[in-house]
Parts: sequence; C-alpha cells; structure tokens
Amino acid sequence: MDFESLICVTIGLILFPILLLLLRLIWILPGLRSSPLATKELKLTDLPNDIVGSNIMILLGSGGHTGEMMRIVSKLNLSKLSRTWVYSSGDSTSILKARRYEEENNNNFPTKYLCIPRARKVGEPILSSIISTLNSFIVSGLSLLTLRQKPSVLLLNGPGTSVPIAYILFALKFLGLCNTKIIYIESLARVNKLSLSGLLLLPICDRFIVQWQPLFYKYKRAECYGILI
Amino acid sequence: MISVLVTTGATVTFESLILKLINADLIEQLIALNVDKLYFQYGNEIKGSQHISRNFFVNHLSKSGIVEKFNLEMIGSSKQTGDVEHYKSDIFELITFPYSPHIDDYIDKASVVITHAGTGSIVDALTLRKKLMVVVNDQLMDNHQLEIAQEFSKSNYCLAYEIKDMEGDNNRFVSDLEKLLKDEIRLKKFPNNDGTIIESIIYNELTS
Repeated sequence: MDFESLICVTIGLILFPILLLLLRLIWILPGLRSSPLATKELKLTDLPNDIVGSNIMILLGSGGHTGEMMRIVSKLNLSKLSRTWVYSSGDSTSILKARRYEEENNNNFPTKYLCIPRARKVGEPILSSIISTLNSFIVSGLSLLTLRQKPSVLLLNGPGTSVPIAYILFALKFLGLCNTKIIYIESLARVNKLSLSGLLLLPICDRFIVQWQPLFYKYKRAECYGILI
Repeated sequence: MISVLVTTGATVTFESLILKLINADLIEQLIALNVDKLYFQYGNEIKGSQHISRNFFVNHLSKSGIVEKFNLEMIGSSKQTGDVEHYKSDIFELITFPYSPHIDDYIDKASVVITHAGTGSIVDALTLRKKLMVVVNDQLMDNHQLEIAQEFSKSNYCLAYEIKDMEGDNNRFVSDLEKLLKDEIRLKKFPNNDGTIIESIIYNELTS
C-alpha cells in the first residue's frame, strides 16, 4: 500500500466509528421522533401484560420540587409498575413522603430507594457547583449502572439532580444498555422562562411538559395541558 | 363562625407577612368582619438548634401586644400535635403552628385562605375550593413568586398582593378580604385534575 492510500484507510477507520456514533445519536434523540400528541385517555391499570412490572423511576428534589412531584404522583395509579424513588442525600423530608405514598398505596411490585449526592444547591457559586455536579454525576452513574432493572420511564420535574440522572440514563440508552423514556414536567413555578435544568434537559427528554401557556409558545417541543399538580 | 387561615411557607420565614398580619389594627379589622378564628402557620425555618421562624414569630407576637389587647389566654400548647399554640378570648381565637403535615385539615376549616405565592400552597387551597388571597414574598432568591401570583390572579383563581398593597389605612387587602367574605368578589373555580393526562403520557411512552 502506498502512503496515500494508507492515509485514506486511516482516516476512513477513524471516521467510520464517529459516523456510527452520530447515527446512533440521531437514532435515539427524541427531538427527531414525533411523539403521539393527541393523548387518548389511557389508564396505567390497563397496561398490556408484557409491560406490567416495568420500572418507573421518580426523582424527588427538595422542598417545592418534591411537593409538586408528590402532588402529581399521588394522582397516578402505579400499582402495575415497580417504582424506584431517587432522592438527594440529606433530604429526609422527601423520602418520608415517598414512603408514606408507598404505605398508602397497595402496590404489588417492589419499591426501591436510591440516594444520590446533591448536584447544585440553589445559589451555589459556579465553580463549587461544577465540582459538586461532577461528584453527583460519578456516584449517580455508578448506582444507575449497577441497577438490575433499568427504568422504562424516568419522571422528572427539574431539581438540580435531574440533570446528571437524565444524562446518565441517556448515555446508557446510547450504549444500548437501557431504553428509558424521559418525561420532564417543568415546575409550576416557571411561567415565562425555563429553569436551568429544563433548558439543559430539553434536547434529551422524550416528553417535555410545561404547565403555563407562555412557555408552551416559546419552545417548539414543549407540550402544555394546563396545571397538572 | 368565620375562620381565616394564613400560611407563610415552610422553608423561609416570611417576616413581612407576619409583621403585616400579626398586628393589633388588623386583628381589630378581622373581628369587625366577624372573623372569630385565625389559624396562623408561621414557618419551619431551622438553623442548627435555632428555630428561626418560631423565634421571630413569638418575639413579634409579644411585641405586637395582641395577647393583652384582646385578652387572649393561652388555653393549650402541645408538642405532640406539631407545636400548636392556642390563644382564646370570648370573641376571638388565634391558633399558631410552625408547619403542619396535615395542612389540608386546616384549609378545610377556613372561609378564606391567605398564603404566600408558593405553587404548592396555592394549589392546595384552590383544590379544596377556597377563597384565596396570595401575597408575594419578594425576599426569596431567584424570585418567581410574583409571576406565579400574577398568572393565577390573571386566570381569576385568586387575588394577588404584594406587601406594599397591605400598607396604610383602608388598603386594598383589607377591603378585598371584606368583599370576599361577603361574596362581592367572585373567583373562578379551579379545574380538578385527576392525573389522567400524565397517566396517558406514561402509558404512551411505555408502549411506544
């Protein structure tokens, strides 16, 4: 082989995997797939048998985020799914609320609680928030990677920890290790502007739901059904 | 029997709202409107061993002179039921507590609810179909309470105020409270949400 063709082959060998990775990314990016917008009234208790027992992962943030999430979840019948509650370290209130929900609802499938270090605290300076976010990324990554049953659905509403959790699951999906659908519900507190978590998660969420009209008109992928909490 | 419930949020002490409402003039106006019970949730902000909210509230309550002026007598205080303190006279009762996990029970008893503009508190009161007055806490970091309050009041689900609307004699806040109690202001009913939308979305995602 002469020098010229050697270079061509090398470039080809380097570019080919990159091309494959790009194709894979395009394949799984939710923005490029149309979601069924016209939502019929479907009940989770009527789930087909092969899907019963799938896992739903619910992320609890702190204070207001947990409050909103629990108000949403308390209206759902999750008895045909197994549930994994993710909560931040040191957030005892949220875990209590999740446990109370589990006690009050008679669920056949097992429950799991997953504790992860907190990403960004409200008002934390940029540099230290980068470090704590990185730490949160690594620990969450390991816990998610070792989960025996990967979640089929991830339900988020925007606390700081949403970002690492969602991106890790997206990365696992990229590698073909899970097929988690990410459903994001922006906090009711956001009227005109998405939260930082919302902005960061917009590209990778399968469903992106906002609760106020101004946000719905601002972002093409956002869905709005009014107040959900 | 007319009861008013005030909730100021749990995480941060809403000092200016406590100052405006735990005030002898205001209590007098409430009594004039035949309000005979005031439930007051003042906050659960704790730093180390200090209960910031309770310290502030108790300190201000004694400074306001309300207990003496209206001959209120403490008839009960209990640690078990969430640090509830109960003051009573012949015509007026004041029931105070830092935070309650059973706030719905209190909302249920109230004719009018006055709350900070946190989404949870607003939705709790509206879900139970209560007449609602929302006061914006502008002291919060990354404040979006103003937007929330405006959006809810634009839809006519509640009335919204800033602290400055509660200043001076004959302010808008007290006159609106009177109109609400007399049904001269009518608010729109909040639509009940049964979770069908989210259930359908999860169903779709699980099966697609």
